[in-house]
Amino acid sequence: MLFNSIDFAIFLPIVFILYWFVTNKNLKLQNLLIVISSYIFYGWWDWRFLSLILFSTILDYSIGISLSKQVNQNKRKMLLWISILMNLGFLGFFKYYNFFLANFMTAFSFFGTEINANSLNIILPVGISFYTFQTLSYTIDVYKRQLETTKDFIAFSAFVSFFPQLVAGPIERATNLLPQFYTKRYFDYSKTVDGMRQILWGLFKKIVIADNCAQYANIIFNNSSEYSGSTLVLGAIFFTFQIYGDFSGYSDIAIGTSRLFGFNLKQNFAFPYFSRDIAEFWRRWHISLSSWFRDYLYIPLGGSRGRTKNKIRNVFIIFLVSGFWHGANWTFIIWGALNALYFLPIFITNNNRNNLNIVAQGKYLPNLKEFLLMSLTFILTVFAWIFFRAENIGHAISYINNIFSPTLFESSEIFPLGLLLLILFFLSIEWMNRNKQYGLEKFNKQKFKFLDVLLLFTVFWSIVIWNSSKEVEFIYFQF
Amino acid sequence: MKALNFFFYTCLFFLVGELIIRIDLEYDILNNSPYKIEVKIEESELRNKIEKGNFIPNPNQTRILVIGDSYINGGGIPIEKRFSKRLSNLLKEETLILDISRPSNSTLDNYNSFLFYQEKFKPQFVFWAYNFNDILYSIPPINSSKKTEIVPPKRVSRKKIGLKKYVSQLYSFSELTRYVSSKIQKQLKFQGIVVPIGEFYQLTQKTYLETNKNWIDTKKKLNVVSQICKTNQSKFILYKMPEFNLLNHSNLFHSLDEKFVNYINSNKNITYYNGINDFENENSDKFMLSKYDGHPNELAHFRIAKKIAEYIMGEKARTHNNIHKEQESDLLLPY
Repeated sequence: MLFNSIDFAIFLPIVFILYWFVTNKNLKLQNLLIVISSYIFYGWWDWRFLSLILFSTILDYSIGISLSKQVNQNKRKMLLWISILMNLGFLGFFKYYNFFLANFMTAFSFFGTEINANSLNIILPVGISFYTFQTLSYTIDVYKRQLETTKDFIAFSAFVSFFPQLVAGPIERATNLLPQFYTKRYFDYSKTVDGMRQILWGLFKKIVIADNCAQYANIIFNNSSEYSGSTLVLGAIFFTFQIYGDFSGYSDIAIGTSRLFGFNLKQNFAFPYFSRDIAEFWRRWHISLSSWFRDYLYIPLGGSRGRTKNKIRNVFIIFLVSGFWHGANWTFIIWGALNALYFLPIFITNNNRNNLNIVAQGKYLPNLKEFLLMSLTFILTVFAWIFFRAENIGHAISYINNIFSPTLFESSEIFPLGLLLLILFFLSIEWMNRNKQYGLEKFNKQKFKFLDVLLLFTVFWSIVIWNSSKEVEFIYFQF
Repeated sequence: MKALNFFFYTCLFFLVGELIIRIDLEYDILNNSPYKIEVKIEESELRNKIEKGNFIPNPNQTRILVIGDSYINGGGIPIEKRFSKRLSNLLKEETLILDISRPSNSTLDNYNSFLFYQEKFKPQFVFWAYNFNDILYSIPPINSSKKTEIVPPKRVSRKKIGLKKYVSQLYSFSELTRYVSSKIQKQLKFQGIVVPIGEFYQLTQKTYLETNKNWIDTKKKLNVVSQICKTNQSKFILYKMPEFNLLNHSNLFHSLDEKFVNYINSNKNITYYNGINDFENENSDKFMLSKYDGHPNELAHFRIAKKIAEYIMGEKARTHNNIHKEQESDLLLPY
């Protein structure tokens, strides 16, 4: 079920009413309702893959219980590895089987040995990368004794399949989300209103910004050889806003929906395009994934400790894995490597934690230095997104070649002024609220109340009037 | 005070919407109104030649005349992937296709075009893509080249009393109400729900009644076309185009389809295809351009072209065999 569909618009109020008015007296019943709703939500897409979620749930629940009973460290380690291998095995099979097969065949044919193996027509189960990481976080935390094992199967199932964030995150840690299923939730009017505001902002990002940018980005990327360099630059910028609007929009809807049910999910995007360096960008972009890799991969590898050589290796590993997590294509790996290259100079010179505060804090506008740094980071990001969007590496290289041609200085064949103005409007709102959790969060000062309401109405009508004619799937569903 | 506040903010809510829709209507901010289909009319050398009377039919060529509106003309589809081009590629052999379909053509326009071009082009096959709203034209049509456009419900001018009057005035003043109501209707239609007072309901349920003068006139025109084709020994193919955004809701057209079948049963000179059968059990998403509009996409055009190409090749083979048999039987004759 898509968040931007009529089906969801009917589904959500029904679940909301049942949750707060029918099952509100009994916590277990509320959790059970979440599980059933989540399975309906997921099964709406393809019910066959519910078995995978159920299997993952049973596996990690059982391993969690075994870990709590087991004192022998070797056996505990073995249990952990069973969970890791089983979960990543499923992920690997559904997501990477054909990729590895094709690359092995290419590698062997390079050395003169032809291998005949058929690739499989595998459907990638939506959200598998997200819920796999979420359940893994539970097992790892239990193994590390950072989290109590749960004996409540319903609560654990609800944690794994929680429908607002099931298919495209944020990837919640068990330490944050699971305990919320143990405690009684009370209906909070202001929290509900806040949740609805965040949903509205997410829909605006997705429907108005991302889907409209997608129309131009798709045309330009699909016919890149026919356009001038300046148009290709515009195409890359449109994709930059498409992916941000799409993914952060989904996160906003997910977080907002969770708030409607009394849950607090962590912020997943903190206005990344206002970053002053690439390290800051990665602290603000897809925070739940970056912090997952940091805690469960980077730090166990040694993190920022040890010799420079090891530190560089760790940085590369984390960025490459992060790229590969997005999809079984070399373009994602190159995208990850490019970001590692951007990051390394400031990391080696110990400048990666220079910009921990919010840009131009307490001021309306950034100073010249901040503006230039933000612009530079934005340009680097746009450049990297070309690899992310391209069909293959050849396409990305020809796209970049075509950008850096004499036609770069010609006027663009495509120039949708209206959309550019909408992007500017969107950026202005985000800039005004960059110290908050999301762009449309309520203004604190009473004197801005009128402006706040006006903005809310404008955003609402923009969604109604400037929506795209198709229900476009969220990009991150494919990851 | 609270009531006043509520009233103020409610008014503000609608005012903001009204302002945004008016800005959009004035400046077309995103240049992509969902129901707007880009229409490019291809200049045809062949058509110009025929119009100037410079066309001499080649007996070795198969000539096909294509008639219809933007659905078959291919609004929103790259020229190379439109029906006529696809058909031409599929038939491979020496084929000449004259595509005189034009966006917004009604039955009357198609009929007039047929009369004009068939005489000069002398087609062996006439392909008429019929759209269910082609029936909307004025009778008698003197020098009319455009069909009557579907317009939003007319503004009410007669006097009404009380609340009704204000609601009606508000409706006629407000672009927002018009926009939202039309959008809701389209959205509902896409879900298979038709509002009984809407234009779509009128068109599918009321216009094709045996007593409707436009339907009577349409049938007359189709009879004339089929008669001319018979006289010219050409084949008349009538293809009823589906609404491609409503493929999953073919039941909305059942009554209309029945009327069509009844008529076709009474006229044996027409080779009739109900397009909906070619897309049975298919999902609209695969074949539509937009969910708010019934225009087909390039994949749909390709499928229709394949179907028609198969028919034409079959007919040609049959004609060829008949001629061959006649020649063979001629040889058996003693003198």
